[in-house]
Amino acid sequence: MEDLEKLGGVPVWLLVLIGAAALCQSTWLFIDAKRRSRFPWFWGLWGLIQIPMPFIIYWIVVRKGWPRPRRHRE
Amino acid sequence: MTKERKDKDVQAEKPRKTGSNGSVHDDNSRLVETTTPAEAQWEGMEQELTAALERWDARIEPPLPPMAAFEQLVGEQRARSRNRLWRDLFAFWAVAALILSLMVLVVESSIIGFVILQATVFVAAIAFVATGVRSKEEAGEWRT
Repeated sequence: MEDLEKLGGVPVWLLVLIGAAALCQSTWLFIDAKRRSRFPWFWGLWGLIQIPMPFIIYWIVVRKGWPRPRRHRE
Repeated sequence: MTKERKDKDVQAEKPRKTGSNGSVHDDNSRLVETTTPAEAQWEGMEQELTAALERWDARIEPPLPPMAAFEQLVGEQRARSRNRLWRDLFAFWAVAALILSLMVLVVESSIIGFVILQATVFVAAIAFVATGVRSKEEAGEWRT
């Protein structure tokens, strides 16, 4: 019975919760990156595997545009 | 009529001397304008041509499509984009189900293996983003 409640020492309900959060994160990243033509499959798959670093880095790099490109002086 | 206007009209009526080469002089023998016969002919032709073109232009009325046609075009494009997005989303969710299943298997077999997998994926993703950002600086944009 304990084997059904835990997987690798992690409670099943926690795994389901993390899985659902990862799916939501990855879906949002996929749709947003697709809208902006910014490698949607990469962001979607990364968002599926990890939480919440992909979202944070996506926000900083894609949405906020950091780092700003250096302007070339003529 | 104001005094200035009257004076101008009087000035316009004053006779002007025309030279043999087409130059026009006023009463004080100051050169007003210089036009050769060829230039005068060309100006006359240009005026006729311009008038004819303007008459032709006024007759032509290009058929403007109604607003509904543009709205329909936009609506069709939106529907196509929406269908494409749903198709891609279903493909993504199918792949996501596969990857989530693999991750559950890894967690079940070994937690250490799962941690190593997470670290590897993190480093690879950061390296990809850093490469993309450097390309963006060089090229001016970072897009698919």
